[in-house]
Amino acid sequence: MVRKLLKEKKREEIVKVASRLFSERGFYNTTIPDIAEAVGMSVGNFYNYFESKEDLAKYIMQYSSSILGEEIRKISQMDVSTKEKVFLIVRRFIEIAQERPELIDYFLRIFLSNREVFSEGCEGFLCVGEVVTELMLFLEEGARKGDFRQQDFFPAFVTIMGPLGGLVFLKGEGILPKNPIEYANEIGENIWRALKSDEKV
Amino acid sequence: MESLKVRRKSLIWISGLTCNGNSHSFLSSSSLSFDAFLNSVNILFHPALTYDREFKDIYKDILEGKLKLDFLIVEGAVSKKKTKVYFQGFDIYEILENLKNIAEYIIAVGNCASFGNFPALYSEDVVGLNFRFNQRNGFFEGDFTTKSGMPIINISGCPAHPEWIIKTVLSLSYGYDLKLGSLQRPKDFYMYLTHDGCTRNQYFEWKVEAEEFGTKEGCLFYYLGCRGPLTHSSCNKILWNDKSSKTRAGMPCIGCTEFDFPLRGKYFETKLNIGIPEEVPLGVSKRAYIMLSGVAKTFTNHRLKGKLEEAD
Amino acid sequence: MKKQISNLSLNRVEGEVELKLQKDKNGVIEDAFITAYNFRGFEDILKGKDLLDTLVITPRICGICGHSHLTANVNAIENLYRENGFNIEVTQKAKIIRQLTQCSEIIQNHIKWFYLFVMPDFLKLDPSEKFVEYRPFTGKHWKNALKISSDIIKIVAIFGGQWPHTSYSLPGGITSDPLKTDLVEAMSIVDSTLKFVESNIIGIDAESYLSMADYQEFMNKTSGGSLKDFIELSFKNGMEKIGKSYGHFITVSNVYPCIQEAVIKKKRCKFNIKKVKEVKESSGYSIVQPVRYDGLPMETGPLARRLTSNTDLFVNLNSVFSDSYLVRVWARVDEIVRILVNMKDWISKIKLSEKSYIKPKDYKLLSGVALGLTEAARGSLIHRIEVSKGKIVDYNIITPTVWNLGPRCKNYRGVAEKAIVGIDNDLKAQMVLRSFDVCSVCLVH
Repeated sequence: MVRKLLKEKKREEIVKVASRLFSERGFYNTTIPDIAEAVGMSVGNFYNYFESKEDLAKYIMQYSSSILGEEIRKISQMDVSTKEKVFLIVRRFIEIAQERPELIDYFLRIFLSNREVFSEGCEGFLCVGEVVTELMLFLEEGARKGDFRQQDFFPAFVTIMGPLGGLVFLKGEGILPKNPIEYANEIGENIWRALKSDEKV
Repeated sequence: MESLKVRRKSLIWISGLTCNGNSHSFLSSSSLSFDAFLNSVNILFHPALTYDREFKDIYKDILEGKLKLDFLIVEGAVSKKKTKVYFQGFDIYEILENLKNIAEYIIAVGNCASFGNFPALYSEDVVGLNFRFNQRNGFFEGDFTTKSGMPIINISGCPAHPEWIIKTVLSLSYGYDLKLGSLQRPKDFYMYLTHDGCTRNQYFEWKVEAEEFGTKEGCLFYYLGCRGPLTHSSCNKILWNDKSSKTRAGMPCIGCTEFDFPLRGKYFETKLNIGIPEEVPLGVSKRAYIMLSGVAKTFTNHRLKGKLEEAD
Repeated sequence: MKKQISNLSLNRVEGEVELKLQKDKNGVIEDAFITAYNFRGFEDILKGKDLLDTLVITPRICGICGHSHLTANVNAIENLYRENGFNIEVTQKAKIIRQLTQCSEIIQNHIKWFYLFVMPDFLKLDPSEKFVEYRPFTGKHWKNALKISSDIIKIVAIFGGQWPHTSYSLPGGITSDPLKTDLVEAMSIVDSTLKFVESNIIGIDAESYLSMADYQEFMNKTSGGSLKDFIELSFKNGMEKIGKSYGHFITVSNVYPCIQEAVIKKKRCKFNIKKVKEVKESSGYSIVQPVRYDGLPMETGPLARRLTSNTDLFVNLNSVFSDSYLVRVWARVDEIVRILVNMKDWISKIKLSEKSYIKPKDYKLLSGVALGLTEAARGSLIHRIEVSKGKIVDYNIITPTVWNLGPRCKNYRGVAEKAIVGIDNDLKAQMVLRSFDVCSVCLVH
C-alpha cells in the first residue's frame, strides 16, 4: 500500500517536472535523460514509471483532464444556481492555471501543437474525456432546467473553453496587465450571457 | 403438472375502456401457441369468440360457485366510479368487485388495464387494475392480492404481445410461479430491454446515429426518439407476428410497455439538451454513458460508415 | 299484448354495444336504437398534442383498424403541408407499401369477422351437425380463419414492425427500408392466403370468380366453400329479404384499381367532401353525433365500395336483393378476393432503389386545417385536423361506424337502425347489426 502511494507520488512529481520542461523547451527538445535528471532519478528508474516519452505525454494530458474534471464536477454538484456555477467554474479554472501553470501551458503548447504525438490512444476526446464529460453534464443539466439556451454541444463547449484558453495564453505571453483572477467575474458574466436562455437575467 | 390431467383451467376475458388491440394481438398469435392455449385453457367467455353462451349466464354460474374461475383477464382501463364503464350490459365496477375474491388470478392485459394509459388522461377516475400510471391507486389499491396470493399481474404493452399473454397464462396453468418486477410484470418478458436483440445494436455500440427515417442503417436512439435502451420488453427477442419489431422496421421504440407511455410525447425525436441526451440507457449514470460514447465516437467502425449492403 | 322492449348486449362485435328493440304486439320490430358505451375521450386527449405524436395516438383508437387511422392521420398532415404551401414528396415505393400494409389489415379484418362473428350466428339458426366446422374454438374453419388472418397480417410486420399498432408510416414516407427478400416473403404470404381463399372461401379460382357478373353463375360454378355455405344458409333463413336500409352509399377515397370514390343517392354522383356534416343535435340515447351527406344518411363499407366502383356482380345483386343482409355480408367477403388479387401486382411495382422517406419541412411551421381520407375495413374514414404551429387545436374523426351505426337525426334513423326495423326475430336483428361489422370502439372513441 505504502509502496503504491509512493509510486503515485513519484509519478506526480515526474508529471510536474516533465510538463514544465515540455512547455519550456518543446516536446522534441526534451529528452528522457533531461526529465530524469530534473527529477533526480536514473533513466533506468524512469522506465519503471513510464514506457516512453509518448506514454508520459499522454498521461500528463489525462492527469490534467482528471484534475480539471474533478473540479468541474464538484462545482456542478453544488447547491447553487447555474449562473453561480458558471462563475465558479471560471474562477476555479483560473486558479488552477495559477497554481499549476505547467499543466495549462502543457495543454496549449504541447497537446494542441504536437497532435502527431497524440494520434494513437489520445485522439479525439480520449485523453480529455473527463473535462469534456463534466462540461457535457453541466451544460445538459443547465439546459434541462431551462437556464441555458438549447443549441449544439460544440458551440457551447467552445464558448466556455475559448475565453479561458485565451486568457491563459495572454498571461503566458506576459501581456496581461492585471492578475488573471481579476478578470474572472467579467469572463464569467460573458460566458453566462452567451449561454443563458432568453428568459434568464 | 398434475393439475393438467385433472381439468383445463378456466378463463374469462372482459373488456373496459379499450381499443381491443390486445384481443387482436392475442388472436394474431402463431397457431402453435394458440392451439396450446386452447388445449390447456377453457375460455368460458371472450367477447369476440364466445357464441353459445351469454356472459350473464356464465357470470351467474361463477358467482353461484357452479363454475370455477382460474383466470380473470381484463383488457382496457376501468373506472373507480360506478356507471362509467360497461361490459356485456354489466357495470364493470360490479364485475370486478364480485370476482376479485373468486378468481385465482387476475391479469391485466395491455397498458390500459395495467396503468390506465391514454384513457386515464381523459379522466381522474380512469385507472388500471392496480396502478394509475406508477401509483398503486388503481381499481384495486395497495398490495391487493387474489386467491392465489399473487397480486394483479400486468402484461403491459400497447398492445401486449400475444406470446406474453399466452405464456403467462400457460406458465401459471402449468404450476410455475412467475417472478414479477416492481410494476408486477413477469420478469421472463420484462427483464429484457427492447434494445436487446435489435438489429441496429452495432450502430448503438459505435454511436452511429440515424438522422432520418427510412434506412436500414443507424441507431434510432440519438435523434429519432427510440426508447429501446429505456424500455422493458422482449420485442426484439420474441418478434412480433413472428417476423419483426418496430425498431427493426426503422420505427423508434415508443416505450409502450411503460407506465409513462401516454405522459411523454415527442415520440419521434430524442430530447437533447445542448446536444446531450436528457435520458440515457437504463442502468448507467449519465457520466458513464457520456464518457463511453465519447470514446466510441472517437473510433470508426468501417462496416457502419456507409450502406450496410456495401460493407464487407 | 302490450308493446315489448328488448335490450340486447351484443357479443362478437368490437366493443360494447346495446341494441334496444321496440316491438309491436306481434313481436315485429317497430324501432331500433343503437347505443354504444365506454367513451375514452380521444378527441379531447389529442388537443394540444404535438402534431407528430398524433401518429402514435390515433392508431390506438381502434385495435383492429389502427393502420387506417394512421393513414388518415398521415394523409391529413401531408395535406396540411400542401395547404401551407410546402411541397411534400412521397415516393411511389412508400405509397405502395402503405397501401399494401393497410389492405393486409383490411383482409385480416374481413376473414376474422366472417368466421368469428358472422358464421357462428347461423349455428344458432341451424344447430345441425352439418356446419360443425364453423364452431368457435373447435371447428376447422374457425381455426383456419385465425391462422390465415394471423398470416396476412405478417405483411404489416414485415414493413411496419408489428401489428396491431405500428406508426411506421409518417409524413414523407415510411420508416422501413425493406430488402428484396422481404418482398419475396410478402409475396409468399399473399400467395398462400389467396390459395386459402380460393379453396376454402370461394371454391373457384379468383380470376373466374372476379369475372362473374351474376350470382347464379357463381353458385353453379363454385365447387363449394364458406361463401357458398353462407349464401345457402342466408337463403334458407330469408336473409336476402332483411337488413335493407336506405340504399344510399358513400366511398370517400380510392384504392387503385379496386375501390373508387363516389356517392350513390338515387344515382351515382361525385363525392364532395363539403357535403359531409356532423349533425349537432342530441339523439337522447347516444353520445355519438349523426353524420349526414347532403342531409342524408349513408352506408359506407365494402357494399358501398362495390356499388360506387360499379362492380357488375354487386350492381346485379343490389338490383335483385338490394342492400340486404346477404348482399352486405357477401360484399365484405368479396372484398377479400378483390384486394388480394392486386397485392402481388403492387409488390412487384415496388422499386427498392427509391427512397423510403423524404424528410419534409419542420412540422412546427404548420398551421391551419386539413383533412385526411382513407378506406378502412368498415368503410370510409375521415380525419380533420386543426393545427397551430405544429400543435393540435382540434382533432375530429368520422369513423365508418359513425356513418353506419350512428344514431338518428331529426329526419332519419341511423342506417343500421333502419335496416333492423321490420324484423321479427332478436337473433336476426343482431345478425343484421353484425352485417355492418360493428366497431363500437371506433363509434365512441
